[in-house]
Amino acid sequence: MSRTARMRYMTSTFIAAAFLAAPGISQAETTLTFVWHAGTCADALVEIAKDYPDKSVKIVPALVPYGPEWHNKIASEFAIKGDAFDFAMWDSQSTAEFAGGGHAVRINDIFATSNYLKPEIFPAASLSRYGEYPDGSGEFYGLPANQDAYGLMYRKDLFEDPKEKRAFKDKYGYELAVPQTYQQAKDIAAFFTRPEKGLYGWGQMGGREYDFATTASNSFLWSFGGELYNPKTYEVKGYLDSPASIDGVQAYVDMFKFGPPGSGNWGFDEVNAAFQQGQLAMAMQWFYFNGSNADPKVNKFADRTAFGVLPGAVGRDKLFRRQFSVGGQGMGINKYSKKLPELTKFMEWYFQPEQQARYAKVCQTGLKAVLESPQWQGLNSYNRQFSVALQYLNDYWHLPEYPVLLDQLQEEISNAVSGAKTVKQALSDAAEKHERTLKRAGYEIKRGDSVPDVPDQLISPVGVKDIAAVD
Amino acid sequence: MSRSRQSGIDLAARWFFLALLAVYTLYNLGPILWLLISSFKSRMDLFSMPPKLIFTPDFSGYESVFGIGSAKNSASAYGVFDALTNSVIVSTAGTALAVFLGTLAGYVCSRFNFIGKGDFMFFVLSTRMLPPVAVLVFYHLMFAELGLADTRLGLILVAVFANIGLATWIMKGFFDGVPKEVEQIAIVSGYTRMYAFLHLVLPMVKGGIAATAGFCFIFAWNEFAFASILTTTAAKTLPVKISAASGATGIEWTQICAAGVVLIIPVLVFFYLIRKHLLMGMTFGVLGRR
Repeated sequence: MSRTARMRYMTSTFIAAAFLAAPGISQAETTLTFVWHAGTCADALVEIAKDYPDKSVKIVPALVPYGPEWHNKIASEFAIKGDAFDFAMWDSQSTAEFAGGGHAVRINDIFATSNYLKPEIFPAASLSRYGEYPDGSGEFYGLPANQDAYGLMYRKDLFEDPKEKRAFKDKYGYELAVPQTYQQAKDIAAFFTRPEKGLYGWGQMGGREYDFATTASNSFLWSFGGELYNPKTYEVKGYLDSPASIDGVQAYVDMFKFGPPGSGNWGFDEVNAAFQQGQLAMAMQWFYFNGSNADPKVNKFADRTAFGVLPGAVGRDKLFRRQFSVGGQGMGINKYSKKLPELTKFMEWYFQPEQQARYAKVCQTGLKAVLESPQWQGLNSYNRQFSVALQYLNDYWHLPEYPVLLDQLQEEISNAVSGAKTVKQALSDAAEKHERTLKRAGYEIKRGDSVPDVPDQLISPVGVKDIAAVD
Repeated sequence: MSRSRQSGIDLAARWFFLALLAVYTLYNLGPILWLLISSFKSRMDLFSMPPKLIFTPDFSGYESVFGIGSAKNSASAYGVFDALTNSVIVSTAGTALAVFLGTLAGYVCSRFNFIGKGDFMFFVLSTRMLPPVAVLVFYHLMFAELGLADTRLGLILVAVFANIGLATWIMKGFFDGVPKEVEQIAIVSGYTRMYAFLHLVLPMVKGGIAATAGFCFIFAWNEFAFASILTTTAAKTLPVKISAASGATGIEWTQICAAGVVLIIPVLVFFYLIRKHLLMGMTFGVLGRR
């Protein structure tokens, strides 16, 4: 190749590279970009949005993996006050961080100007759960776009087998049925744990990643009457390491005895995989995944799978409580987006019953009109249980320091699961770390005189004398 | 020892080493083979115990990766082709620029003494000492200000910054191996230094350039940390796109495996193209030069 030809070749290569390096030009007049973790619900939103009447507006998903990357993607964009996305679905507990940091649009302003979007179209509890900050303030920064709750799935063929029922009753003295308490769940899990047949009684998350161990263990902790902290005094010691909290987390750790070897490291995928392969008689799992667990193309045992509400527990104060972690996400708006008018119009359309009914076929809507319609509970095999589960939800810290608090508790719960520490030591260390974090963040911890063994008695008590059974 | 007994021992030794090589090859290719097989398994087959070796092929993973067939309308499939295009452009352009600049810098550092040369070399090397997460926020801030966030150009610059230190050091090593007399003779004979560099020295280190390009391409192709934060939609690369493969069933392993296969192919093609020069380059010229 001659020098001239080589120069021409190099020049044309650079021109081509420069052309290709330029960002793509969008064909739509307006693109509304949202950040969410990938999955059925994001698919549903995109699919529904295709029918948005204003064809000049395009809804573009910017999907991220479920876990810390999801939070970090939103947080990093807010950190630079960027408008790479216009709206995002973020975990309920992140509202405090993003709203507290001044990065989310105050939805009250939209409520005030919109003819359709009003607080009344959402259940008050859902709106509060997914958008209110600070708690009880009436200030909203998110809409309940995708509700979720921890639930129970179980093998009804095993539970309804007459031989199994007889054997269980002979051994434990009561009928084999969906457990109402964790004490019963432990008996049933032990009964079905038959490693020689590849069957185990109970599956649950216990991994160190993101919130896997924490959301699962909190469900036990709250049901036994424990608390993470006192939101009024910011005390953690005496609450997180209270005897009731220890009872709860100990019960959670004990349940790993009835899971397959290594299940202490499980995340949601491992729980699903084990259940879908018939290794588990029962498992606690987010309702979000029930669509696939009811799908015969995914779950070998789909026709023998039933869904229920998680058990509660009788605490050391002899009171019964049923409390478990809330899941799901609120839809929040990026304050730095330059497309708020277009986005508001889209949201007015998206939250109409017609669109939300489509969404509710695969995911859990937060629109009251759909939730109260008689058709909703019959849309699939788990909506009825989900409507019951909504009554028993609890959430962790609605504080901007949530990511740090979560990571610290994850670390200590993992220590308890792996046996590196006793439950008491792990919770005591977590309480110590949490108070240090809160102090550094400027919270004044007002130490009370004493905390009862069951701190739920002090904070929005939910304990009742009798076991409140649910169907 | 008789000749026939000796040849018998030689044959046995040969077979032994062949068997050893076969085991070693299987050990190295095993994960790739597993990835390939898994990319054609349904989720049900993927998790079955004992693992299934004979199964009905499931193409849903590839459908998801390319956004075709049953995955045509899924949000996960959105922009997969764009991500693949972005990855190819960013890695190729980033590698080309890094190797180009690294070659020039390596030559200068090999042939000339200048004030602060040692510091410069250390500074260039130090750019690889920082974990990406330590500088991520600053990059994000700068790129947002400069309008480079979520652009291919931004990612190309990141790839260049990340690789230029490696390219400079490797290339300096290769240039050090070329006797200075080569250029001196050319200069004495009336040629310019540039001529000597382009026509005498560069051909002698083309194996090194190929090896450097290989290393830089792998780094640029697999880069995740920067791309995950600096891009949102338009410039998203394939590794970032794949990481979001999580659906209703949990993590979509079939899709991830299919995407893994797709991710490997361009690297294989690239290394196939530079294979002639690679061995010499990888051994830093100890096998001799042509």
